[in-house]
Amino acid sequence: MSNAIEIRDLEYRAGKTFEVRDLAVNVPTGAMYGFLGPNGAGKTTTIRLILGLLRPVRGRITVLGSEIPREAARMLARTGYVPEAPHLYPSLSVDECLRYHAAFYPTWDWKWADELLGHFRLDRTRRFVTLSKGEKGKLMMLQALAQRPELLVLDEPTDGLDPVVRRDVITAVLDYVAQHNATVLISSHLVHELERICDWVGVMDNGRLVAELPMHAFKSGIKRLRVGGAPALPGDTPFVLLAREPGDGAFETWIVRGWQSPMTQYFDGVGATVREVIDLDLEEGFVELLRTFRGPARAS
Amino acid sequence: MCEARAAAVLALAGLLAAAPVAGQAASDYGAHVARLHGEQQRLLAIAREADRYLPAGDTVRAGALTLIVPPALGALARSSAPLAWQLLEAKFGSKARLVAPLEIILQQRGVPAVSPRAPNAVVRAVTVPPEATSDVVAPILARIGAAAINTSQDSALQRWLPWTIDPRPQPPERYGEVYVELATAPWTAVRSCYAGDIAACGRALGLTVGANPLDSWYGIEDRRRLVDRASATWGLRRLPETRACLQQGDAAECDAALRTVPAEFVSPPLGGVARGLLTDVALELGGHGAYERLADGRGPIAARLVDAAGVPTDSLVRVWRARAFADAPRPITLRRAGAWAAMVWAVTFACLGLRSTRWR
Amino acid sequence: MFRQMLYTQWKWSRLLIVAGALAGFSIPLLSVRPLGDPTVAGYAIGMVLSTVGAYGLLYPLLAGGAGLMLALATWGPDHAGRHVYALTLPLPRWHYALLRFGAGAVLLSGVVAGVLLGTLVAVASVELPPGLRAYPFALTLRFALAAFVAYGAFFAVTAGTNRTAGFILAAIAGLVLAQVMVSAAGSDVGFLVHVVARLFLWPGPLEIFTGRWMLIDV
Repeated sequence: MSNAIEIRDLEYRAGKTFEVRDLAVNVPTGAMYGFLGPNGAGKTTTIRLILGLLRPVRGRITVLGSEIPREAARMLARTGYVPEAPHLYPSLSVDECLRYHAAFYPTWDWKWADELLGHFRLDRTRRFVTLSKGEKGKLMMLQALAQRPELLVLDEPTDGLDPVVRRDVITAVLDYVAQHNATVLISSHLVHELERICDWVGVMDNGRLVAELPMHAFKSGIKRLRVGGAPALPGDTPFVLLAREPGDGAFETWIVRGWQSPMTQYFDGVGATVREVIDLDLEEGFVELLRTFRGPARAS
Repeated sequence: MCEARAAAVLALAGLLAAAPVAGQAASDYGAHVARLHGEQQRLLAIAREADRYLPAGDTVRAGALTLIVPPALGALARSSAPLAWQLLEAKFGSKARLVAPLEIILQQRGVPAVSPRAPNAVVRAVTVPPEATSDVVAPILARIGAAAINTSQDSALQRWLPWTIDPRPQPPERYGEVYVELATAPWTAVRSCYAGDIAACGRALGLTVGANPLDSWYGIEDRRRLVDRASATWGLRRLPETRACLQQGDAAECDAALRTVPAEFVSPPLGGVARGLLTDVALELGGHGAYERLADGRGPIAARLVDAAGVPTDSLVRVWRARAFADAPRPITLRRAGAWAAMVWAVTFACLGLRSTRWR
Repeated sequence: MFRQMLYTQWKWSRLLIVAGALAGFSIPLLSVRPLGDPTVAGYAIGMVLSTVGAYGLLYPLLAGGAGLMLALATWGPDHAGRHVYALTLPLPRWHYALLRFGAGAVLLSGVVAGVLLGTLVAVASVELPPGLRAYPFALTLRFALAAFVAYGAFFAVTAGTNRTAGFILAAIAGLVLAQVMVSAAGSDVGFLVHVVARLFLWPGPLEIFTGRWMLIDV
């Protein structure tokens, strides 16, 4: 499977501190890739690097086959972008915004733009600055979709929007992807939103990629185990031991990834018992993942 | 120089005295003026007395030109004075000796002042900048000397020529001024001169004078304009002859109105600069001894100029007019070199703008 | 692309352009008013030329002001949005800047057109006395060149980053400070004067602004 976005050994520095380091990201073509991470993790910075808005210190970025930032213009012709903050010109009306944007994209689909305009219930004559936050978000999404991109890069597109608007926006994206098999990179700190729509997830924290895996593996893979009689040194485990914490009495709590039921045999082999296997939802799994990534209680 | 300080004191006194003077009757005003004049003479005498206590400077002479200088400026004076004298002799010939009573005191900031030598000398002071060289100072000295020589001209020549004949060559801008005057003056004779009528040029320059100069210089419309102008300056509107002149255009009434204003107001149509440059042309054409012939001549000004120049009036005026037209100020609206430079700069700035960086 | 660029810039700067064009149209008419006065014409040509010359000071001011305001209006909205939108459009930066510059130049021509129209109407509306000539095309061309020099210079500065603008300001401040210190130390070296002279004397960039701007002259 080819990758729509490939990042290797990326490093970016802003000021005296590192923002992104040793970053490697692979967004498969046709995937809906959720970019997860807490605030300040580096998600927006990474997106800006992908789009050629920032110049990396080192590393390689390839988007839709184009090297970035050298071939950014060619790539941007095939990429729809919705930033976190509204970026259109405030004094232009909705109609003027669309006409201005359309002038730069030969693939612009006016028919569909008009359909979306009606679907989003946007008034053509209103100036951008007078639109509500939700309306602005819808207009930016409309622009990104109507240019018929191969890649959609959405930076927290539903942040601050009410549930109705959020649903409208996500539905439009899903419809587009279903029809055109486009690749979507969507960043958010709203785990549950991504859980529903993404088939790949990349977790970022403190400028580094913590994990990158299919969504189903991420959802099902992280468990909390209550282990009794746990060995001091776990040795080779068939799962990934993310963390172990002393529990109450003789039991410890183990956070593991990649757990499957037959793996209880391991505990039999080391003389321990698994008292309980607790499923974590995506958000809990995300929190545990970050905690183990950041904290001192990492498994050796 | 103490005389300068005395003059400043007098000016201040005059300012302070202005308030009481306002509103006085004419006789009181005259008495006040006389009092101020007496005060001026007294202050000048005090200044001259004070000058006696200044240190004596070095005396530098070149021909009839005398400089009094502090020792620190001795070298400068010794190199400048001969150059100045050469300029004066070349222009004025034997009349250059008329500068003999003049003592020019050189001064410089930071250098102690010196006193003049002769008690009855005509004293002029010149302050030179610190880096001044003889190339700069010599023409200044020559100009001062020329002013002194010009005061010895007879009253007829001085009345016609309100201009100091300068030994220095005139810059083209001066002739440019004459061209502008020819092109823009409202007087009929001047406009005809501009159009090429040499005889009109002579009238406009005041070279043709009959019993009534106004007949030569100004037509009836010109005289009405003159009276209109004079009315504003000299308050002639109340005079019946003014009304008759302005309303009916009666030449005699206009003349009568103009006779009530000072004579300097009624002068040839072309101003002092034009007449001065005509004189310069005459002296240049006349070569050696030209100024003596002009200064010593008597009779009409035109004849004296012809005598000085050695050419007829028409020829003299033609040369003068040709120079004015040759040095006409070029319309400065757009110079080709400036236009090209501006285009290059506009393109350069545009190219710099195109280098706007992507990285923000 | 260019049409849309032109439209959006017109929208941002139309008040400036209209005001500039009106000012450019009015200055020549005001400057020749004395010539239209029958009591003045032919009597006080010197005064007429002085009036024309006095109003002439407004041309370089208008040219410089129009160039500056238009450059600010060109880049202002992009600066406000930190250039995110502009940089995510599918064209190289230099191409984008060229479109912006071109659109601004077209709009600036509106002000120049105002001046041209004003000079032609002014000259047609008065009778010139012999000896005086009118220079509407030369004056308008000079105005156009001055306006484009100003626009180009301010465009280049406003197209740069805050850092670039900071460098420029720091350089100017440094020159002034150095001159102050040199003068305070008692030296007569006046390099600031030389720098300024280089700007205003040919072939400096500001030479086009200097001198007399006479619609009517001898």
